Amino acid sequence: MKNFQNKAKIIKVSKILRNIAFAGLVLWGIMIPVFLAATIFTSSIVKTPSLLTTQILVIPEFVFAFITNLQLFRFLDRLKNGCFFDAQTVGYLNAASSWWLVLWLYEVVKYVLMQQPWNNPHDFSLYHFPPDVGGLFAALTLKFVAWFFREAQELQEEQELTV
Amino acid sequence: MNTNEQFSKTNARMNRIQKVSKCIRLFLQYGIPLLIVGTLGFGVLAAKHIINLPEPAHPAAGSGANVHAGTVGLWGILTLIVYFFWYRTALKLFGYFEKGILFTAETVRCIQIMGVIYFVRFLVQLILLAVPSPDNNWRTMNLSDLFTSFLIIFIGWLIDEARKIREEQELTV
Repeated sequence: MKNFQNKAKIIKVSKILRNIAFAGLVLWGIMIPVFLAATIFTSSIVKTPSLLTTQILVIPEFVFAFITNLQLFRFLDRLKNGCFFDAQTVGYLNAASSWWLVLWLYEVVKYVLMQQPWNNPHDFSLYHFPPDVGGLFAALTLKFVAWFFREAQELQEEQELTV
Repeated sequence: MNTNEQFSKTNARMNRIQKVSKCIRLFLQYGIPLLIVGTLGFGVLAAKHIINLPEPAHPAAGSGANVHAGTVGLWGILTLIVYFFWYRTALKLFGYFEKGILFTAETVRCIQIMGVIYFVRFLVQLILLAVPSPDNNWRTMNLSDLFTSFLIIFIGWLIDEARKIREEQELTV
């Protein structure tokens, strides 16, 4: 009975978090086309290359954030459906952490490109736009957790087979 | 596949978890202090003009008015306390994994404390943003910290619930 209650509690909390992740997806889904439209609009009116470069560089960042959010949504959706630590659920968590890493790497690339080091190599420094180390650390933590879950899940499967 | 092969495979997997945890613990225990000492060393060398380091965009973080210096000091102390707690908890957690203690109440507690530390870090950033200062550019607030904290706390809670379910199932059998 208590066992059932625990499972129901996990499903309930996962459902709430899944809804929050869905709201995030909708937000990114709106922001990407809006930013794309704004970039096209700006390019036709304003002839400032730096503003245009910044706007163009932001779009892939939103796309990567959207994919990360999507993977987390899938992970929470699996939990909501009662699939707690199976290969696919852990796979979605792993994918989310990988995309988060890609997002962080892109952020660094974006900061480099925004400064256009080929135009003014003497002023170039990542000190001007320090990348968020917290984001990198969060992605690595999730990556470790996903790997740990996968190993533990396979360990359990093997133990069951041995018994 | 016979039972012996299966057992050795299980053992190898457990060894892998322990080995990776040991590497991470060693990196945390010795790598991070070395990095801090290295950074301080470079700072001293740069101050004595032996080497040249690139200048930060907002170098005036500690050189302005007294209020400003106080805020920077407060920020430094609070960040240091948060990092110290994180460091201690992370060492403890990877120490447990290294010993092969995986899904127990202690590990879950460590994971949840790490989530709370992320949340505290976010709060420190939020509080310091509210403190008036002549130059706010050096202070930032990362929403990703808030998000990460909730995610880690949730994962810790998930492991805890799964552990309870398993314990009850064992008792039932």
